[in-house]
Amino acid sequence: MGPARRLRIVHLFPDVLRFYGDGGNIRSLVTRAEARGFETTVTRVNVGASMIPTADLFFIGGGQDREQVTAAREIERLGPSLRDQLTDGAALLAICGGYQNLGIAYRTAFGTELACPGLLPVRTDANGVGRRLVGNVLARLEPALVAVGASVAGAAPGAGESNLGRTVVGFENHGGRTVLEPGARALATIEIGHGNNGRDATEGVLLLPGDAGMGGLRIGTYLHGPLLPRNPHVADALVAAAIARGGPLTRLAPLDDRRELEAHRVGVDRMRRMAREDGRIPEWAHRMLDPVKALIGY
Amino acid sequence: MGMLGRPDRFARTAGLVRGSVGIGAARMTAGVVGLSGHRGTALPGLVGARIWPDALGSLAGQLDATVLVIGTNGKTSTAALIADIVLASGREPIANRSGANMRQGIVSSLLRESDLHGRLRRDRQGRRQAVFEVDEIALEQILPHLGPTMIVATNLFRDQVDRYGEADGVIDRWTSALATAADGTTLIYCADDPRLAMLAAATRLPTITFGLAGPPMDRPPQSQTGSTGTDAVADPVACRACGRQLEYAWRSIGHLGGFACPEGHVSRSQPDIAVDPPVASGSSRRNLDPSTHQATASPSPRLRIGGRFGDALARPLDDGLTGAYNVAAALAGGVALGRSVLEGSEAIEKSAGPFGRFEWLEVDGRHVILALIKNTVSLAESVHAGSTWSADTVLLGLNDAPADGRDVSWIWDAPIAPLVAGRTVVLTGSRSTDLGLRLQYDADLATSPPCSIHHATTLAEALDVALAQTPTGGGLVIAATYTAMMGLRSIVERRGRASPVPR
Repeated sequence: MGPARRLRIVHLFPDVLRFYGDGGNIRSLVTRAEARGFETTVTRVNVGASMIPTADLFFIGGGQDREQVTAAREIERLGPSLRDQLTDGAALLAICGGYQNLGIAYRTAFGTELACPGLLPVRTDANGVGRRLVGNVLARLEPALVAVGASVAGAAPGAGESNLGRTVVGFENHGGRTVLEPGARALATIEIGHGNNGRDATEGVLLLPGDAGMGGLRIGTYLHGPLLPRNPHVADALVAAAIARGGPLTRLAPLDDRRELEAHRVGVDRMRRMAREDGRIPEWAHRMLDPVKALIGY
Repeated sequence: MGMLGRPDRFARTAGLVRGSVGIGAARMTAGVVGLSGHRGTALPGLVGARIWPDALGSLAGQLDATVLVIGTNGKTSTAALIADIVLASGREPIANRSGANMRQGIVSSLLRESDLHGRLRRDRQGRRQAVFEVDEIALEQILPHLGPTMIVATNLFRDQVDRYGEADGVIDRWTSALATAADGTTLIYCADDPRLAMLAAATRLPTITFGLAGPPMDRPPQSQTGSTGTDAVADPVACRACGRQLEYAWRSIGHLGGFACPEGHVSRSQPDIAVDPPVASGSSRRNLDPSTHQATASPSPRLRIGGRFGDALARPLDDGLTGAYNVAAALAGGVALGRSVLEGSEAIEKSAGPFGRFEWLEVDGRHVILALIKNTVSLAESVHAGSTWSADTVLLGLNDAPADGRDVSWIWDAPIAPLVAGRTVVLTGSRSTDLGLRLQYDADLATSPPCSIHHATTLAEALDVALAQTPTGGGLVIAATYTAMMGLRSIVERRGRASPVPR
């Protein structure tokens, strides 16, 4: 008997962590799973819940510092169940605040060290780090995830004509600087944007099934926008991994992704064109323009 | 002292000279910009500030009263209504009606009303008052230079996080800015906004509050928004004392409503000026005569105003909750300026709204309604209002220039199906592909989709398609971000086909 034709999604703490369109990620996962004939449920686990229900895929979004403090307390309380399920093969997508919350350590902008479960091999510091890292992001996906995407993707219309499965686009907006643990894999390498910390060109973190004795696919990232509608290959990798629950991945039936890929391509093209235009302006001109831009709030 | 005296005097003389030169240069710039046909807003101020850094303090110091309107939504409308209240009292207020709400825009507005000696021109009564809307992050640059000020805070929603940062951060900046306010300053704020209530509690300023008299009738009950609903219009708001999430007995717009900290640190207080929530009414008040294609309108119904400053009936700029809040905010501002609620209501009876915020036009024999969208809450309000208007076609314009906000992910946080279901949709703007995905992945639209969806590469093409898809005498809703709206509006004006419909 094959795996059950169902996908159980749990949205963690949407009452405090919901920021800038991250609900679109849930819509993408549900739509793409249902289109493949999987019966899909989404359960919202709010602050104060007595337990975390069984799931194939966990999603946690972003929020402000005060809300992250609340989330940290809840994660500490309910964490053991989450850890067991992830070890058992459930997949995880953690965005922005949720990404920071699920790491090994997180110090808020107020300087508070939050309790962290260490479900993602990253450490984040948001205390006295200077300006926020804000803007559009274009990054090259970790080849291992591209391979996962290629192994589950059918021959979708429009997908063959480009290398779109190798890039990821999104929008970042975070104060915290995140550093990967030694040996940890980044989700992507920055081409345009700041990524984890603005220094080492890494973006997000990626754990593949089998990494360090872990069960399922885990992705932590700063990218919203939301992430998945414009990056359908990442959505499909998550859906396939969640359904496989750590076992061998099965191919997903192809979908008509022309609109998704067009939106992805528009993002890539706009960012590269803007970067080129920025590059044509000499540095001294930038130095002269910056105070003016600051004055008019550009 | 002797050693320091001379350089001191020298510096003062040099300062005066620099001052005159600065005013001259800035006045000249204002003149040139004016001649060139641009409404040129921030540039004279920018020129003046380089040569005369103290321009703001020197000019604003001559004002008898200054009103600053801050907040996310409703700034421009509220400031326009307050300016009309001042006008009705026989004064001519200085205002930045063109929306240039950064520091330099305000300096420019003052420079335009000053002579070459840096003296503000007086009105007929020999006094001057100013009403400025002020950008969220410009308040801290402006307030320290002003004397006693009326600060009207409309609301604080999550907005353009790429520019402003998180809402909690904006409250922190406003708190420190308000600490620099001169003695005699009054804070006027929306009692339904917990962020503003906590801001007020953190300051020493006297306050006047405004808000709804009770829960709105046309909104889903509290249990359907926020923690259990599928949209994310209402931000989660934590008590700044204990960090616990606030609880709501009812909600109006986003996180506004009847809030309370579960540990009792903060709760909504009954507003000093309370407006009855409007009864939902649609576009039935506006009609096109089918034979002449002439548009006629009956005005928005008046709303009952109550509270400790007396009763009145006041006419809002639009039918929705935003219109009610803006009227209440403006009347509260009027009270702070010494105008009674009754006088204020009479003054704004015939006010015309600023462009693009639920503006009604007649174009080629079609009803066209313009709705500016810029964040989750304004989109949600436009969708709510737009679903009640009789319209055949919806044009959605999404740009991501800095003035629009480079991050467009907010389009995913508000329900959009009620606006587009069963209607013809035209998508345009630099990020129209994201709008397309937004509609494609909407669960409600899967069962009740739009009639058809058209993609247009230019604004002009989008307008042509949208008008062609709308029958004569029919309705077209245009919801667009700032730069897309400006573009669409100038196309309509250039073609000379539009005539405004009275409110």
